[in-house]
Amino acid sequence: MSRSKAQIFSIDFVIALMLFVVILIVSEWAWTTSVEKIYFTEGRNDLEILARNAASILIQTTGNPPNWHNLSDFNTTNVSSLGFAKNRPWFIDENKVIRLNNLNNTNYSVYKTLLGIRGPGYEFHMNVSKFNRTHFEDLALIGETPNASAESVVKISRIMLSGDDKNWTKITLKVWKTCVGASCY
Amino acid sequence: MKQKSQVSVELITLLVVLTGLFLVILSVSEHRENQLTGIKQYLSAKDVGDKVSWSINSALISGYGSKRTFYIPAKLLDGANFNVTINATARSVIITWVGRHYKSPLLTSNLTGNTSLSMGEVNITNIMGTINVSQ
Repeated sequence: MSRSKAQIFSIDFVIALMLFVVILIVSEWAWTTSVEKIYFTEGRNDLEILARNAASILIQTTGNPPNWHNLSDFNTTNVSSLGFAKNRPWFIDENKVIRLNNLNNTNYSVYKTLLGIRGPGYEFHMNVSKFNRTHFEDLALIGETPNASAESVVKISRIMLSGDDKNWTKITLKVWKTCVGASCY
Repeated sequence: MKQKSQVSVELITLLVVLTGLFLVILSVSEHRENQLTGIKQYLSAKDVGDKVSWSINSALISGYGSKRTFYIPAKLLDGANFNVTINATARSVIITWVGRHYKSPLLTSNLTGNTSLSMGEVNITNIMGTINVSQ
């Protein structure tokens, strides 16, 4: 009698059940981790593409209209694209940088739209500095610096030339993602 | 008699436990399958959206006269239908599919030509700073 009872609820069965539950929990954990990794990798790739595009359009184009820095109303309606180039790629128009720097405090969201930096918690910071024969001197600091909530930062540096004295101007762009709700991994 | 009855009760208990486990596994696997389908469709839609925006943005960056050509597939992965819309005002390429959407940013609002794209070849041309989309 007791033998037949033991045959059904044996220790073997309990161990098998426990093993099964452990495997189930591990597979659940592995799945969740994989999904998070996919989204994190995609997010990171997005940031890199956005940063590269933003740096390229600033360096290689004049913007549209090319005299956007002279417009009294700076907004996404009047300016269809941004660019620092004077009249050809890689040659900087410092007036454009200065204009952007002067508008900095009130137009951050406009810059983000024009530079295509849009997404959940996406922010940027740009440092434009000019080489004065000994070191780089800040010409403009635009945007928001990565803070403690930044979970992913992509940094890109590019060099432009000044038309008159063929001097170097370095543009350092940081595109970063702040941790927002469900996007935090 | 008594012995037989005890075995039956235990057997029923065992069956209940196993059925419960089976139902849990079934529910979890169904949820996983739905999630996987969602991820595949999202990545597929993202791929299409980014392809469109990359072509427009790179034509803009490369300068006047630049051309790009790409193909839009008939369906997303897993056979989902989708729509591609270029919204110049919002500076976005918007992919919509089964109640979801994905937006890929554009670097210009100076766009002309087709704003709604379907399966097939799409040509992008930078005409004096204006990006023309034709299909």
